[in-house]
Parts: sequence; structure tokens; C-alpha cells
Amino acid sequence: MDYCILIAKSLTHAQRMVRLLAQCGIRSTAFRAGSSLTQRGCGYAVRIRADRWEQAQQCLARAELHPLDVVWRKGES
Amino acid sequence: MLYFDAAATTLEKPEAVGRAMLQACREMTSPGRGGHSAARLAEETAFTCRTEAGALFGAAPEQVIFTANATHALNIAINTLVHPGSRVVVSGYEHNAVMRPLYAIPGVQITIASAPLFAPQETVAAFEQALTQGADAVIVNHVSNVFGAIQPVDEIAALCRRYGVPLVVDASQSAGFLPIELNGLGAAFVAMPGHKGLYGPQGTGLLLCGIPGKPLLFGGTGSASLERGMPESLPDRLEAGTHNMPGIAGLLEGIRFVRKTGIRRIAEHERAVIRRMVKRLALQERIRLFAADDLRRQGGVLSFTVEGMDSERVASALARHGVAVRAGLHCAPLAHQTAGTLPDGTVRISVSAFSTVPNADRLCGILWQILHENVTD
Repeated sequence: MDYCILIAKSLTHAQRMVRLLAQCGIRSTAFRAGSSLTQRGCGYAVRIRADRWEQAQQCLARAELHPLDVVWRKGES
Repeated sequence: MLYFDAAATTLEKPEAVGRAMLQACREMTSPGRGGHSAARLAEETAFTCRTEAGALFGAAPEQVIFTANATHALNIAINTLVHPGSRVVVSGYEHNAVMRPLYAIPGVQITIASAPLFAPQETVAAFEQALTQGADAVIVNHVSNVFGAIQPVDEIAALCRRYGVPLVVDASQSAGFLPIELNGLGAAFVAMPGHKGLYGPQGTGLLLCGIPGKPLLFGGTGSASLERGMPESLPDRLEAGTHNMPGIAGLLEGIRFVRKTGIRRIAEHERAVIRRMVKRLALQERIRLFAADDLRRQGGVLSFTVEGMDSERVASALARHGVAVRAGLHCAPLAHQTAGTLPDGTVRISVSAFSTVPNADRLCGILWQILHENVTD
């Protein structure tokens, strides 16, 4: 299954995104992300199924809660 | 002990506070510092605390910054807004946690918007007069830690919005007693301790940020580690170093207690205890009370002096009888200067949600005994 990784500004930002996405019916997981993902050192990111990205984008945009960046991954578990 | 020193710290806490702290010591590490279950539990707890505090104070979770106490929070706010040569307007009742950071900045011009105690209209007029001269920041003590006087923060906030001046509210004695809405006030910052009206442990505080703050401490945040500067975004920007997770876990339970009990109910309870003491203390000729005619203008703090007896001696005598109050200048010499109670200060009684009218009666009975013994200077 393909995944979409939303790079968060901070742990709190990641946690807010997870809560908000849950309210929109989208399952997501926050996790620690390394430099290869964040480009800025340690950080946090949120993983969702790639096919939920459009809905997630709308959900987050309504709350003006935007990820720093979005990274796509194929078949990552 | 009859504890009436809640304005210093609330000694009586909900049971859940201690339990949460113990659980944190045993099961939590640091948020943002690991991917294991102990770190994740800490992350969830910290986020829940931010969320609950945000719900109580009208702020988003990332606008809620954990600090060591209100003094730490005020220092961040002042460090952000006040620079050498800045003009700052304060009330006549500010604590040293505001005044000392201001005194330490070279060339700061401090205008004291002085007004009598329990006089909101005069206070608003004094602030407006000061603001017409221009200001870079306004800092106001929501409830005086010495006299319990409630300052008209809503009106002062409106003045600040009109004049375009950032506002800092010291909510040390009002958090958990009066409604406070960060975004409703349009305040730049609201600072508060976790260990007074929020019933958390000592070593905790909150800074609500209406604007991004300037870091006071620099260090690890568990994020953006490759960047040399502190992260741009809140809350990480203002939270360097390891969090006090036992404190935050305890504070979360304190906030839950306040939200469940209700601020209005807590305030009504505290006012009832204060009202009782005002009624009884007013009967004693030797006692000079500092109480509002309308107790809706007063928080859970009551000061008095005793004719012929230094405030510290009164407090010592009460302590020998198992009554905890505080005497002297209460780290707020400006308040005493404004009210005319220098140099000896006052005896301060301060209550919490756990104070009771029967205990207030006991305090008064013990005080009568001390006065009857006629211990004079």
C-alpha cells in the first residue's frame, strides 16, 4: 500500500494533525522522522494512506493546519 | 495546619495530581526524545495537558507553552517585547516577577498607571492616560497577590488593541478563579503558575502566546536538530531542554479538576470564605482590612494590618497556632508603595477551592486569642 508522509513542524503539530484527521475519519500515525525525511534533523511526521491524501488535505486546510512538506512512499509499512 | 497561603502555592491538591506525578516518574520519559512507549506516553500526556489548558484559556495547543513557573513565563514575555529604551506601562500592583526583569533592561522607561485599590474606573483612566504618551508594552497583574484587587483586564485589553500596544497579563492569582481567554483578549501573552489556582505541582507554569515569543533558553527541542537556531514554530521555540513530565502530568490533573468543578463555582466558594473573614475581621478595631466594598472586585486574597503589631509577628504568632498565612511585602513592594503599606507590609490570607468557612472561623478565633494576649511591639 502506498503512503503519504506529512512532515510536521513539531511534535505538537503532528499530534494536532493526527487528532484532526481522526475527526475527519482518516486514520493516521505520528512517528519520529529522521533527517532523510525532514531535511532539518530530528522531527515528527504523520503517515496516512496515499489514497486518503486529497481528503486529508481538505481536512487540514479547513483548520489551516498545513504540513511543512508531503513525501510519497510506495508500499512502506 | 489551617492553610491560608494559597496565593503562594496551593498546598491542598486533588488526589489525582499526586497519583499522576507518581505514574509519570515510573512510566514516562521525555516527549520528542524517543520513539518508544515511555516517550509516547509522555507525548500524549503533554499534548493532552496543552489541549485541556487551551480549552480552559481559549488558546490552541501550540499556543500553550510549559514553563517552570509564572516568573519564567513573564521573563519570556518581557524578553520578547521589551528592549533597551522601551516604554512600558504597568499597574501600581505588579509583582517583582514583572518589575525586576524590567529594572534589569537598560534604559526602560516605566510608567505606573497608578490608581486606588478596588477602583476599576480610575484604573482604566490611568492606563488610558499613560497610553496616550505612547508605549511599547503594557503589563498588568490581573489580581493583586497582596490585596486581591481584580484589575479591569478586559477594558485594558481593549485600550491596548485600540492603541496597538501588546499586552502581557500576569494571571498568577486569576488562573482558575476568573475566566481568561487569550484570543478573546487579543493579548500578546498571558502568564500563570501551574501550582496555585490550577492545583498542579510546584515547578510548573504556563505561558499562553498570542504572538511568537523570543527564546529565553536555547537548547535541545527534539526537533529540527540540524538547525543552529531554535525552531521557528511554537511550542518548541520556547521549550528548550527536558520537560518536567511529573509536573506536567500533575498539572493536567489540576486543570481537569478546575474544568470539572467550574471556575464560577470555585470563585463563588472562595468569595464565600473571604466574605466570612471580612465580616468577622471587620469587628476588630485594631485590624485594618483591605477589602472591596463589592467583593466581586476581589479575588481570593485578603490583606490586613494590626495596630501595634508588626505583620511578621502576627504571622509568626499564627504559625505557632498552626495557621499558615504570609506577611511582609509578598515580593510586591510596588503594590505596598501604591497602597501605602510600606515599610511593614501586611498579613495576607489567601484561599483556594479547598478552604472552608469553618476553618476561616477557626483562623479568626486564633487571631482574637493572639490580639487578646496583646502582644505588641
